[in-house]
Amino acid sequence: MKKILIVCLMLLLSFGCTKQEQLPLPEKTDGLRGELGIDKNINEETIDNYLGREDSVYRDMRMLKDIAVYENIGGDSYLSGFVKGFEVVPYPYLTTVTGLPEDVGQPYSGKTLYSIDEDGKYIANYEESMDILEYLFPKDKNIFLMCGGGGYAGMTKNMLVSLGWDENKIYNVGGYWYYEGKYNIKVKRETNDTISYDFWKVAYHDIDFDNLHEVK
Amino acid sequence: MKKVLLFIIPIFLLFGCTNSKPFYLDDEFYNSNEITDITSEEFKKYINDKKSFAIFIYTEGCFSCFDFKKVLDEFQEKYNIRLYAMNASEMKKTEIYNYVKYSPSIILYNKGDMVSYLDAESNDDKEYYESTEGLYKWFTKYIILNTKIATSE
Repeated sequence: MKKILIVCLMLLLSFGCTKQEQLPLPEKTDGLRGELGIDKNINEETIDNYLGREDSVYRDMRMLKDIAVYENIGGDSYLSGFVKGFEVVPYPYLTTVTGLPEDVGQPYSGKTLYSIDEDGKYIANYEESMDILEYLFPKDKNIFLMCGGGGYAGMTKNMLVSLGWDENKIYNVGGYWYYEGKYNIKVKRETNDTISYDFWKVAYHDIDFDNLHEVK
Repeated sequence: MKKVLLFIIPIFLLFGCTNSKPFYLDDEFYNSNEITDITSEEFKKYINDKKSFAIFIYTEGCFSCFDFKKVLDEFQEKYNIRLYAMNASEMKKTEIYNYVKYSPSIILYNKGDMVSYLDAESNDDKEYYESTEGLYKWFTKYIILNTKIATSE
C-alpha cells in the first residue's frame, strides 16, 4: 500500500501539478515591425514554443480568399498556408478594413460585425456582434493573433482592446510569410502547371450574417 | 624625424586605411531608375563577379514593403539610381539571410562584399524607411550618388 501511495504521489507531482509557463507581457518589437504591433518575444520565430497551450487561443486573421487583389502588389490573395493550431477568423468580417495600398483595389466591403464611426469608435451592427467576438476571442484566455505580414493581426488587437479586452493578454505574433517553424501547414498546392488550395485543412470560423439580427 | 614618423604612422593606420568612405556603384546602376528582379542564382553570380550594387528585398503583398516601395520609387526617380530586387523567398537561399530576416530591406554591396543594410526591426533605421530624405541620408553614407567621372580608379 505504501509503495502504491509513493508511486501515485510521484506521478501526481510529475503530471498533476504542472502549470503552464508564465508568458512574458506583450511588448512591441522595434522598427517598422513594431509599428504593426508585432511582439518582441512571441513572434514568427518563437511561436513554436507557445503553441498548444490550454490557456490560450490562436487566431489567423486572413480571409481564405481576400477580395483585395494582392497580386497587384506581388502578393497572394489566397491563404497559402498557416501555423498548426491557428484557426481562421477573417478580420474583414469583423470591421471595416482601411489603410490598404491603393493598388489592391477595394477590400471586402460587405457586412461586418462592427463599423467604425468618425471618432474611431467601434459600433456594433448586429445584436450578436459582441457575443461572437467574446466567443472567438475569449477574454479569460491569452489570444495569439497572426496573419500574412502582421497587419490584420495588429488591427485586430487594436479593435479588441478598444472594445474592452485586456491588451496584456493579446499577442500580435506577426506574419505567416516569415514563419519558418516546424508546424507549417501548406494549403497552396502546385502540381505541374496547376495551382489549387486545400482549404479543407483550415479550421475556419464562418460568420453567417444572414442569421444575425441587425441593430436598429 | 623618427618621432614624427612614430606619431604619424599610428594615425595613418587608425584613420587612413578604413573602408568607411562612400563608394561608387558599378556604372550600369547610374542614370537609370529601373528596378530589376533577380534570382538567387543571379545574385550569387554577381557576388562572385565582385559587383557593386544595391538590392531591394521585399515580400509579396506586404503592406510595409509596399509603403516603402513608394519612398524608394521617389528616391530612384529623383537620383536616377538603378537597383536589383529580390523577393524574400529567393533571398532565403542566399547569404543575405544570415543577416536580413525581414522585409522590406535594401542591402549595399561593394565589390561583392556586404557593406550595410536596412533593418525592418531596428528603431535606428525607421527614419530611413519613412521618407525620400531619410533614404537619401542612409544611402549617401555609403554610396556616391553622382555619376562617376570616366577615369579608371
